[in-house]
Amino acid sequence: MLEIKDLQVEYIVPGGVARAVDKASLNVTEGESLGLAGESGCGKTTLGNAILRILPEGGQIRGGSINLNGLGLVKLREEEMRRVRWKEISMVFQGAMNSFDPTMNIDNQIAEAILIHQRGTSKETALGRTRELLRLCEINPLLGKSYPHELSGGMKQRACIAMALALQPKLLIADEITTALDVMTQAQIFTLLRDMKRKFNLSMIIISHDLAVLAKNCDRLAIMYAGHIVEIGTIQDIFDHPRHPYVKGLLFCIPNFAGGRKIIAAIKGAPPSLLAPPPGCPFHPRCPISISECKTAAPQLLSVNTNNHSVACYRKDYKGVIWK
Amino acid sequence: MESIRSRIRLQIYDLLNFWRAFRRNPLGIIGVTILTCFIVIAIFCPVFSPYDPEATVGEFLAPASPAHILGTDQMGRDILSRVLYGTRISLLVGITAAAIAVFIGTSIGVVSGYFGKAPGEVLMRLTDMFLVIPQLVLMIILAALLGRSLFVIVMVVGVTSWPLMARIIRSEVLSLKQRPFVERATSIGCSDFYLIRKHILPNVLPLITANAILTIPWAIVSEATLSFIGLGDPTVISWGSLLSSAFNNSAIILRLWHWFTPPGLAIVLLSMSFALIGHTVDEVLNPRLRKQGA
Repeated sequence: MLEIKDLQVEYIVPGGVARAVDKASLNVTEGESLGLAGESGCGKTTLGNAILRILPEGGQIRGGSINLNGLGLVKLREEEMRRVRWKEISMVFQGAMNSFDPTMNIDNQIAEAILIHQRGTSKETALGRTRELLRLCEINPLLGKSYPHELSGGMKQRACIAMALALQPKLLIADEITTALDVMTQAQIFTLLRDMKRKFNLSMIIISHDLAVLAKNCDRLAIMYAGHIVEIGTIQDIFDHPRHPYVKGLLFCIPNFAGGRKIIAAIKGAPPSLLAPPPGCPFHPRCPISISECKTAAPQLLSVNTNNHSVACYRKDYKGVIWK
Repeated sequence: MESIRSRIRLQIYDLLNFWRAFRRNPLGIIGVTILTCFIVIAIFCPVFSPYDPEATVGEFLAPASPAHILGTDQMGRDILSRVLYGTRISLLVGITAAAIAVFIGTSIGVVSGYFGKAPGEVLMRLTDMFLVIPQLVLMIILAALLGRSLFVIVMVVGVTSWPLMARIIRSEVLSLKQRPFVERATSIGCSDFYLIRKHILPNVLPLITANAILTIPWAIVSEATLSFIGLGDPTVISWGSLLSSAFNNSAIILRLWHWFTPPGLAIVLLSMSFALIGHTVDEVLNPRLRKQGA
């Protein structure tokens, strides 16, 4: 349903050109939710924004393709893209707390999406639909009359989901939607999201740095590092049989309740600067098992089993212990 | 129907809330009181004025007396009546010129802030150009070139008073543009025009209001200045032209206090009332201060 191939996104910044997403390929099938994980600044949000083509000033798609049911989004004209936004792909934003206009009540902001896309809909119909959406997202429809600052964080986040569902999109991108919420509210939000997914057969891309949240709520997982997708596969494949040294390191960092006490190790060093990435595989300066090949050319994302578990690493078959 | 009614009710409610916060500020109340007095005078000046302001009704340069409380001018016209009638012109010029300045300032500020890059830069350089030319000089040149009429005065004051406002609005729009709700509105599929109208303008409205109210006294003083130096419309009675004729007839050398003090005082009072209201509105609409109030 959604197919991204070799996507490259660059930011023009005072110090030069930062390649925030480099040759990223992934696909999302209908009704599937894909998790996108990685540390801050690895390009997760940029990838999400690039799909909707709402990159901030200075950011642009430099290559590759994004296909939504056969429709090439990269080449669409702006007016055509405007029609795709929200109708086909909608988004719940990182700063959900602030993604409402403080001068407009919740009802009007949700109805706005409907009124913009379905010309000729009367305001009454749109508001009726809004109330229905709020009820669906477990908010008292009477609260639609309130202004954003009068709602709690969890309510605002639910209202954001209601807004994202306003036009029954096929794909929902959820960008760090629970980062600012407490654990209880987080769980409620994701329960709601799972219900909606089932109800509307939604496809989702869930962007987060919280691996536990992704493991619980996604079917497949893609791990990004310095703009590259380094490994992608089902939750089982990634958690039980990680192949990329970086992913192995990430999973090694999660403390294990069942196992004995151990000191968890950090991956030494820091992610590379996107302005001057190292040649070859971006992870090689921090990788304990890198070989000369890693320094010359970036490895391709290659399938390692029939399940479409793919890894971009020359040492993907290395069986020894890397992190201890 | 229902939604329109509830909308109106909501707006009345907002207004009441605004007034409740406003009236806590004694300076604002003083401003409103003074302004109300002037507005009443402007509307009912034929009732209040003892004489026709244009007619010769007494001796020339008569001192203050029970018949002519502020005396008469060099043509035997009643000064009190002229000061009262002058309120009309000063208020009219002040408000219309400020409206023009606010319109130009807001448009240029919003467009250059929202569209950034080339159009924004061009508009800001234009604004800088207006900012570096001394405003009084520019007004004098324009007024001298365009002739002496009330319309010209209003236009001249209006088109020279917007640059500072454009800058203030632009910086606010620049910061609004970075806010997540604008990103959301874009991703919903809002067009630029829609986004400006529905999301940007309502958010800069408090700033526009406060600036508009503060531009009015500036416009009143500018009109008085132009009239004083003889560039005003000679056929209308304004405080500036009253001061001008007092000055030209040596009222200051002759110590005719009753002639030149009242119009000067009126200008100061009216300007001050707008300044007081403007500052209070600014305080009330500032969300950080509003939270404590409500």
